[in-house]
Amino acid sequence: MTEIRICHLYPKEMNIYGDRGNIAVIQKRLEWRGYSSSITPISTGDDFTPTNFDLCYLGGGQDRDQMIVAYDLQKKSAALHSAAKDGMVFLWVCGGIQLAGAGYTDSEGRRIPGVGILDLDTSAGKNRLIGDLVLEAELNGDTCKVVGYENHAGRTFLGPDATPLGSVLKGHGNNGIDRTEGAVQRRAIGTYMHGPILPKNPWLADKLLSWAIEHKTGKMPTLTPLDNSLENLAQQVAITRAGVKR
Amino acid sequence: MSNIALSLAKAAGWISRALGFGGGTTIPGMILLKLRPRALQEMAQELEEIIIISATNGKTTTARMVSHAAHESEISFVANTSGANLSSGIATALLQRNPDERFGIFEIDEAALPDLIPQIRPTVLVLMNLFRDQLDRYGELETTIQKWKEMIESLPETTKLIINADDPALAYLGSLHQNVEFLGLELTDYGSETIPHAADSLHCQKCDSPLNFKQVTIGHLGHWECQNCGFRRPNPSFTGDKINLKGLNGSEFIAASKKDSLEIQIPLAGIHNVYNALTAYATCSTIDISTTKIQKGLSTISAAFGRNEIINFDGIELMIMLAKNPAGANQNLKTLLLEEGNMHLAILLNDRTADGKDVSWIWDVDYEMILDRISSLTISGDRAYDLALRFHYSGFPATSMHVAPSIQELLEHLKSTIKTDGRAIALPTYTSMLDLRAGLNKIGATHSFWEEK
Ligand SMILES: [Zn+2]
Repeated sequence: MTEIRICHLYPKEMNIYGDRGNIAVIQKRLEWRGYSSSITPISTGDDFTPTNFDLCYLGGGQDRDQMIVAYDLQKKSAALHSAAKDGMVFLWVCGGIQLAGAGYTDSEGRRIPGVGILDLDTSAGKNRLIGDLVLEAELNGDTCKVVGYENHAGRTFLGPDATPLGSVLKGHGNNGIDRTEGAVQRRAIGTYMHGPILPKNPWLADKLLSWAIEHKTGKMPTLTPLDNSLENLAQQVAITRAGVKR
Repeated sequence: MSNIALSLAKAAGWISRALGFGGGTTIPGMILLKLRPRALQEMAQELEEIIIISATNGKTTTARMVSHAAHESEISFVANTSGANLSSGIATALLQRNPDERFGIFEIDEAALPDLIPQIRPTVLVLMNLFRDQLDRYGELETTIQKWKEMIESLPETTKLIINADDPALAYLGSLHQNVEFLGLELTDYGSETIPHAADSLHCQKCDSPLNFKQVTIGHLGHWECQNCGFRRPNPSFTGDKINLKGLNGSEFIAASKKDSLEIQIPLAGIHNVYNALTAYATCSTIDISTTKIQKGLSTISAAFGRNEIINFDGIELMIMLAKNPAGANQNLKTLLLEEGNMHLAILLNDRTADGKDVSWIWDVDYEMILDRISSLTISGDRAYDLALRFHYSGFPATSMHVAPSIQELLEHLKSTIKTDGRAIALPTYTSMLDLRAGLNKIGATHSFWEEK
């Protein structure tokens, strides 16, 4: 049985938006298709060895915890870059997308460094951008609606090397101005969407899985279709409640 | 104070009740504060003793416990017993106060607290716990902690603080005030050494280093010590020991202070209610209510609205356990585990303003602990399918769960599954609890909540 190796960065500090749900979805959708998986938590002070993993997850945290994590992440920066170059899959959510960029300038002008695996930069806005978020997302030429919830003070702007995960149909997205949400660069995805993002968006989950399997086996798999009826109903309810027409 | 403002506000409460808009527990106060922004200060000044209780979880029940003991002790007091815990609710309670009521016992929303404290000026301020809750509404926990810190730094020294030493962030806040007493639970069989996966406040407030825990009771509450600077749980002057949790039948423990020690029995389940009772004991003891009155007051307490409340319909006994955030929901699940046999479970999830619009939090609840104890699972509420996914991805068989989005479908499904003489447990969020009660009310099963005192 092929084992997909998942690294969960800072699960103790960065977990405030049900991040465990994303990990559960990755594991279960692999399991239902006959793949096994391992989850390795990596915390402050631990080494990150790029060749040990196929997929790396980082969730959202409180500002204070994000600061603690940001400085530890700097020590792992070279390893993360080498992993990204090697095609490892990243899903970095909320605080994660900010740490994945060049850095974060807070409301008092202090600069918190990022690791720069996504070409983007973030600075604090006056108010928090909170509410339902609905996207028309695009990956590898496929499009699909993606639903979630956002709650962030950061305003994120992408540089030329990153492309948005999607365009905003409802909500604020990266910065509330350019209607973009999230960022994609090689196999690294950053997003402000929680909810958590993967349970209601199996299309996105399966993209990440197939990339992770390809990273492990060297071959893009044909994923066995799963019964997504609950996922689709939950997504439809979220879209309707957000006031977006299907 | 202006009589016109007072009578207008009072009349508004009466009209709103008469028209069936609701309990009138907030509208009179809301109107009064519009007409007279300083009304809270003016009315609060007339009280001799003001007790304010705040927390993420347990403030409603604890305020009820203190009120009950005060009642036993024949203290005449005003309280916001219906859980209307913002300025409008407090103003309404004060507006409807009898002149002979010299005590005030108020539970206050944790986010509203910093603004209300300078207006109401408590003689005793009781801070119980802070957990993550409705991040879209309350913001990050750290933000609340910072606001509470500023609030405590501006308290006059005459204000007596009562603080849960088991909560590391609160213990730190307590250390900033001279006039403070701590409370805490001794080591107990019901504690564990491991932190639940999504616990809060795991870093030292003084130096940011990770905390070590010798015991964890709920979330991040327990016996803790900083790995780096040695800041540790203060020795509490009010302790709870020899805890015995008897499942849904209630709980007992020994409460002790420097002055006395007594056996406390409460008909409420779970270690969170032991914290509530210990906090009530510390508070009552501080205002010199005698131990026998405390004992009596606590032993005869009934469940607060929607907290372990039992409602009968069509031969089915339905226990409602409000579950509105991860820490509270996990406590309910742990309490259910103490029961024998399998259970019929109904879980209701709404995403309205009072529930929090972000439903991510259900993934932080450890439903996994009860999966093999569920004989039937019915899922309801505006976001029922999100909950269904939560169980789907925990490995719970889809064929064993039933999604009933409306309350009517939920009650019908419970009836057809349980038949008669059975028991079911409902875990609703706040507004889904209101929906559930309204649905039960429609079939003649329960009463409206503002009738309770
Ligand atoms: Zn420390």
